[in-house]
Amino acid sequence: MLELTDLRKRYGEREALGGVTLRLRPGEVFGLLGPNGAGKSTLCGLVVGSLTPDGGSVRVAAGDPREPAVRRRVGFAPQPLALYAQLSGAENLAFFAGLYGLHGARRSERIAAVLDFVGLRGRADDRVGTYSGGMARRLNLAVALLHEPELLLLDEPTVGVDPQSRDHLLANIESLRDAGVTVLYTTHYMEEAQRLCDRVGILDRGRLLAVDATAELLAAHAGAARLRVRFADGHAHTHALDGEAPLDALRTLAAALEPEHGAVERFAVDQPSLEDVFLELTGRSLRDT
Amino acid sequence: MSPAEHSAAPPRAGWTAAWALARKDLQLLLRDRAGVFLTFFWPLILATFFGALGPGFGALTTGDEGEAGAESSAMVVLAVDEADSPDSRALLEALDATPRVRLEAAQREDAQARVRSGGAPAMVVLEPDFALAADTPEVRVRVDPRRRSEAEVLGQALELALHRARAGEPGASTLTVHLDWLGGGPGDQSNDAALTKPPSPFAVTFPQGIIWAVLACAATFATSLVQERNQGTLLRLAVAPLPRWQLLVGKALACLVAILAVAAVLLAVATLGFGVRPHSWPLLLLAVLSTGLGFVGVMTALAALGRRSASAAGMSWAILMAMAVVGGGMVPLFMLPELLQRAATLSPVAWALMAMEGAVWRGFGLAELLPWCAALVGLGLAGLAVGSRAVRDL
Repeated sequence: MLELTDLRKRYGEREALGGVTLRLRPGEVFGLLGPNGAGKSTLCGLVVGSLTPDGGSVRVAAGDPREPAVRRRVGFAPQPLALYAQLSGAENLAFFAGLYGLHGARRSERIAAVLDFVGLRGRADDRVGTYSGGMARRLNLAVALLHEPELLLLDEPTVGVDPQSRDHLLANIESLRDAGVTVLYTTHYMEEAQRLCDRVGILDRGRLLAVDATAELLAAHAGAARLRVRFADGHAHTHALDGEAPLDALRTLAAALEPEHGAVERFAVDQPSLEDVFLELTGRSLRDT
Repeated sequence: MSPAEHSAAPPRAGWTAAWALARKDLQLLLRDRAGVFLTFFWPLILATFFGALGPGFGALTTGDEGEAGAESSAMVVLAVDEADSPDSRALLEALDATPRVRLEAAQREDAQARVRSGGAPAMVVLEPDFALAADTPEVRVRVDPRRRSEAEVLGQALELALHRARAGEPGASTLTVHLDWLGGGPGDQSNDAALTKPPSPFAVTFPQGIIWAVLACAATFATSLVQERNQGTLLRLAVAPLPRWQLLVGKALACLVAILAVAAVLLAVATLGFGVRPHSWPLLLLAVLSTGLGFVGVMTALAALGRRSASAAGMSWAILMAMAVVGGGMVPLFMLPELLQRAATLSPVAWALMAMEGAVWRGFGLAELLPWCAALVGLGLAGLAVGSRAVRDL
């Protein structure tokens, strides 16, 4: 569905993308995880054809993304809200539907469908300027879905939204995944990538450091799950599980350490996360960058 | 939607998209109160206000000036001496000697054409039977109605010249001045009776009001690409399945519709409210359309060239205001220094004013109107070409 080969982009002296090669399979949700400034938005701009690469190539459904016929197959929800605040939600949708050649009954049908999908039917006639940040984000997504794209690019779609709207948006994307839409999802929220994505790419400073299914990435780079145990005298102990059953490991630890530190007061199992993967690959925490 | 449906452009997709863009821009304009005031109400207020001031609109200063100052501000009047007699020469010499008037000899037809085209404010005709000794010597004067205040000065200057030409000799105490406005030749009342009457002041001010509205529309739309960039929507437009030039066509269409709408409102008020009767409605339509196309071109060029500049709004206003000042859109041309009057021929505002005035009260025929309209349409096409080239890289 999407094929990037040795994709490069510079802004003056600064290298935004330094040779990214990636293939997205039809119907998969691919998460591009990286800190701010990693090159995620630049990659999206190159995929939708709003930017021209300095090197390498982009093929969307085997076509050039700058061709109108290819653009009709791509939906894009950019990170900055791309909406007219003075128009209502329905007017925004009608306008963007017109740009994609939708008109008449088909246009009305699609507008109603996407409004229902993002849960904004009741506010369709209100001006976007009166929407909350979360509602505006949902409308931003609705615009991208109007023409039923085969490839959907979502650039940080949950930035600055309230938890309720975030959950709504993530549920929307899960529905799209179930419907077989190919999604390229950029985020710096690892929990979103873990929840939604079939595969994840770790992008840092314009370079794709690792690409794999979430479980494989975790296995390869995040290490084992860890058992954390706290004893009655305050002593804390961390134990890498390495495939052991947590309760078995807990029994073994308790037997060994309770005589010295007293009874086990509490324990927890920390599953490895993409945060650990990022830390392992870059030596930095995703949230610190 | 199947891949095949996606890849095929929907029928009428180009026009659907262009109309969607235009409609959206018009919706945004109508929801911007300041924009609506600037483009619709302000020109109407100005045209009505200056029209209500009456014939004094655009008056030259009547202050007492010295000879040198008077020479520099003297109006050029075309003198047609068909009598070619000692009497006629004496009157014209005396008239030329008055500080407010400088005479230029001309043939009747040439003089008539220059007054009609705004090249001279007035012409004076002394017919073959002119005689200073007559009881009431007769002089025919033809005046550009935009210069009616000067016509009053000219009337006084003629009285003074008659007094001086007759120095010491008895004769009639007054001069009969037959004042014609535009239309057929001086004294040829049969040509078009309506045109021999002075047009309503509103006939002069409403074309000017349309120009102000056109400039306001052009300035408003010229900043729209920058506004799209600032609110993030330009990115979405840039990735839509449209050639970039179609984005400009949509904006151009919106600007043209706004210009035509405001021109229609102003003309409706002028005709229904103030009794203005254009000389030719079809020619006026042609003039307004040409003006619209010309300034839509200017707008698209400004929009595309200023698409990345935060100061695009100021730059667009500055350029359009310069055109207006130089072209007589702000101050009547005859009040400007001679150098600027010559420069006015380069301003599209002057072309548009001439085209609209030609259709409203100058009595232009199609042949006289066409050069101005062609210049405006040419400007519009050039602006669109420049804009569409620049907008390839948003």
